[in-house]
Amino acid sequence: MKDISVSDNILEIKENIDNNINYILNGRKIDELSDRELMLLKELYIVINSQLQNRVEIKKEEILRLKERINNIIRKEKM
Amino acid sequence: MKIKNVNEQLIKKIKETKTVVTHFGDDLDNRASIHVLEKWAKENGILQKDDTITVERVPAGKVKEGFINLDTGGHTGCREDENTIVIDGNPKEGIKSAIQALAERLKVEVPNQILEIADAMPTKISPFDTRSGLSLQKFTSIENVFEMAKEELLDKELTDEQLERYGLVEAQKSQQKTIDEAVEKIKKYTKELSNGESVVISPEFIKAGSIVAYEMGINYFASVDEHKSGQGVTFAINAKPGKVLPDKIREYGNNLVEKYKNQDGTSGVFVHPNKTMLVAGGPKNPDFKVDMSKEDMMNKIDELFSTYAREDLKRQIVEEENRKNKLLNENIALDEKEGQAKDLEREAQKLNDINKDKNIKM
Repeated sequence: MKDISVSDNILEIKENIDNNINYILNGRKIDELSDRELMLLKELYIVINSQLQNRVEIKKEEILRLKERINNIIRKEKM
Repeated sequence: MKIKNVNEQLIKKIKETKTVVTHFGDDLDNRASIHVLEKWAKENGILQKDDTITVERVPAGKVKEGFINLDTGGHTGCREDENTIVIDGNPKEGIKSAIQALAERLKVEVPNQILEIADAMPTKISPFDTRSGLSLQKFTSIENVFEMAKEELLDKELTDEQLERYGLVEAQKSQQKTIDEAVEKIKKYTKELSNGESVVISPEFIKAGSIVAYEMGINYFASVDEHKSGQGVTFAINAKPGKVLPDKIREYGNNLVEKYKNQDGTSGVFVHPNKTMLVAGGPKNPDFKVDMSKEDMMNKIDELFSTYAREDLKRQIVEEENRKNKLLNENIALDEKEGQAKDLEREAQKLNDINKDKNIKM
């Protein structure tokens, strides 16, 4: 699965996630999966959520950097 | 008067019967309780120094009418009528053990260690630690156990000198052999469950099996045995400390309790109120058996755990799906904030550039 934490396009991310999940589901409901497939699906979710969480952290840091840059610009402006 | 009236019935029963009734098999709780009661009775002239208390056994949960019952009665606390006395723990009311209930009633001092761990396996003692006071206490006299408790040795490794002093050198060697054999068998009978947990389903009794299994990280321990009569089976299913048995297992246990209920309301099947244990027969109920073959019971237990694990795995997947949606929404919100911040930065930079130009012209 492509690392979604570095992707900028949220629609692409959603599509990527859905494709991976649907690959395991293959048109079936969770109840219809075998134990092995359920375990795979859970592992997949863990990877997805870990990458989504990473992306949250990256975005938060980027927003802080942007705010810092804006403050610097304003400081220069006042000088 | 030295002894309060609240113990009048107890005194009468001791004098009358010189007997206590407890469950089959000895553990720290019933050993300590019998010892404390006998000592108290002798110190207060209820029994003579040469008298000994006779110990009778009943299946766990049962009570013998007309007698003092210690550490039996279903873990629902103390009760008393003109004929029968029951002194037992009541975890729901904070009375962890029979010895705690007895010590409070008689107002006698019992070493804190015994009160803390009489009916529970403390998590800080490892069964692989065959030198700990608690793992060795059953091999020495109860008087020694109390001395060890005063020295707070029950949850500690005994030194060579202490093993010697309490006569436990050979016992420790034998314990080590027991642990090594248990590990070998447990590895053979462990089943990995689909939800990431594991269970031992053993077709034979494994000495120290459950506590060794939990130390190995296994979550549940089940042991099935043929009944001594050659017909039917007995079994026990336990959960690791800190866990409870799955609903499906307890439900099955409760159905068996009802199915095998006696006329007096007791049953050969016991589901512990703290939800950690289901027992059918065994040392505390040696005559009881479930009418199934060993193979069928093992398959039933396997099926119950497999079904539980699958349901649990589905529940975990639903939780992860919900978490995914929450994280996606968080990402969308952050993308928007990032976009706004970038716009602001561009605007601020534009203004800055405009003002710079103005200043230069001036």
